[in-house]
Amino acid sequence: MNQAEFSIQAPSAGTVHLRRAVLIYDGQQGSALATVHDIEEVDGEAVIGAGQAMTPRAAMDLARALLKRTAHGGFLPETVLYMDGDLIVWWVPPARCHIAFRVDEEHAEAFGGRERGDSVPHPGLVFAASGRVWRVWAVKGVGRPTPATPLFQVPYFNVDVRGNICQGNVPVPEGTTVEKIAAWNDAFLRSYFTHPNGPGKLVRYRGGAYAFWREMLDGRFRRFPERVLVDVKMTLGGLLGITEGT
Amino acid sequence: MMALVLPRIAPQVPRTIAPGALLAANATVSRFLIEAEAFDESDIPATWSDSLDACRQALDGWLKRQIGALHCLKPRFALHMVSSDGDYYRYYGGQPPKDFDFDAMEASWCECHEQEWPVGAGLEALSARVPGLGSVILHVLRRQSAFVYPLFTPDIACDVATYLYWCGEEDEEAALDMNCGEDEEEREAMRTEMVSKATLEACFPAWTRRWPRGLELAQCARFLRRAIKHQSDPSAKAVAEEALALASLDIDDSFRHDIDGEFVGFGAVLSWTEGDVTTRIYDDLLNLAHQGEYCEHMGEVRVPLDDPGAFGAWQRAMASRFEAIRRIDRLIHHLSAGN
Repeated sequence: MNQAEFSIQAPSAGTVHLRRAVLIYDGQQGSALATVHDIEEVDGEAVIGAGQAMTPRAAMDLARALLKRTAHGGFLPETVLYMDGDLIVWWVPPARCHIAFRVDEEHAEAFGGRERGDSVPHPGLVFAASGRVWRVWAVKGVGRPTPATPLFQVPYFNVDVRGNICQGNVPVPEGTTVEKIAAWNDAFLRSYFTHPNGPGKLVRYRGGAYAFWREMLDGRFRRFPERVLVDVKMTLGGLLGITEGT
Repeated sequence: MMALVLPRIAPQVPRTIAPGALLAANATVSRFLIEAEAFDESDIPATWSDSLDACRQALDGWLKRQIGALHCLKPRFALHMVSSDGDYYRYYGGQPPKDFDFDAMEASWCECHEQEWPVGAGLEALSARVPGLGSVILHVLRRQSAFVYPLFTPDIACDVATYLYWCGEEDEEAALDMNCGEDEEEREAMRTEMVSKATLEACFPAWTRRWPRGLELAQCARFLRRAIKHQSDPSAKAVAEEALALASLDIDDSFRHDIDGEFVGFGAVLSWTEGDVTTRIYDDLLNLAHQGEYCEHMGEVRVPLDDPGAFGAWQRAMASRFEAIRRIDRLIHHLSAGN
């Protein structure tokens, strides 16, 4: 026999219930073991039941459930260099693309105008994005970066000496999945660059960063002059805490 | 010896965590239903952790009590939250909308799983016992189901066929002219493939293909009373009594849906014989409807959040419709011999 049913379309899918407990055992040399325990109700109280070892697959399923917006799966493009949790590191090969500046009155004359933009050559770039960081460095050459690749300060305004991008009013994409890489690139390269961020040299160029970009926009360079990049004395592997070959 | 005790989780650890926006939305709906006195206290589950789910269970219990067990139909009633702009509250696992301006609740109903029920043999058997009884019962079914639980009956199948296949004409000739011109061979090939007028005539008796103009419920009721009085066969008598009870219900179109687009909210497909052309026409109608705007709600009511009493009034007004659903279900069950 059938029965009529009544539903309320105010989904409670956002509600999470205490179902399991994970106990984590750390070893001295970085080893770890986790056990998963069902939560049972005994006399109206929640108790931790007997557990079983958490398999790598169960750990990955749990990680996926915890990081829905950063879940990775499927083929990876060759520009993706590194992934760990919600951190994704990718490379943008050297290319010519449009860049726009909006500088203050003080530098407008030296810059050749308050607002300028044009298609110019760019160096190779390495971006890192996660829920907490958004950083960028420059790399030399046209080859895909490896852990041994030296990193350089990006020559752009609005990025500090540690590669942190000043977000300002730029809306950033939600999530750090492979599909969002183009959106992250656009969020950076299609925003207005307004001012150098903090102390430190952006470029090794006579007259400094304003002079360099004025001449770039004036079309002085057909290829990006890599000699102007400032070495940050760090490799990509060093940044990520890994050494070449690991 | 130390007793073995399972480790307890401190009461400070929450057993359930819900996004704030969702909690606010749930609380609004729960308060609305309680103020509407939408269910009895006894319908509320003894223990619950989610007020909205408790309300849903209570409403579900109330509905099941109202309609009872069914043989053929499986109605689904739903309650939606609606904003002042008329938008529905939608949330599928991402962040619940934060600035949703709740304004009203909308109740609607539809069939969960419509199926084909062949009723031809049952109706013909009744007409063999009492001439005209099958025709009257079919008319009561389609007339009384129209505003509460619409059925896809042979007359609707024939009507749909005219605009699905025949360009709105009385037969397929205009469609053949349009597609094949004067090419007789091509016309015959297409006629064989398509649902033609001959297909419908071969499938449904003439008295099922058209809505009998002028036949009112009062006349049907008089006919059924006479049939019951003179009928000795208990099965035929039971069907006529069921139809009479259905015909006696006062059902208007108060809660008609207000949705543009093709109507496909049918509760069941009443074919004449199993697997006949009715289901093909029904499927083609669904395919056409799903290419644009369509409506699959049988009825709906929108109640402002600040007028919970109107929801209770709707519940009371549904009593005769619930009875109709129950009786429509029993009639289909009788006529299709429980298939």
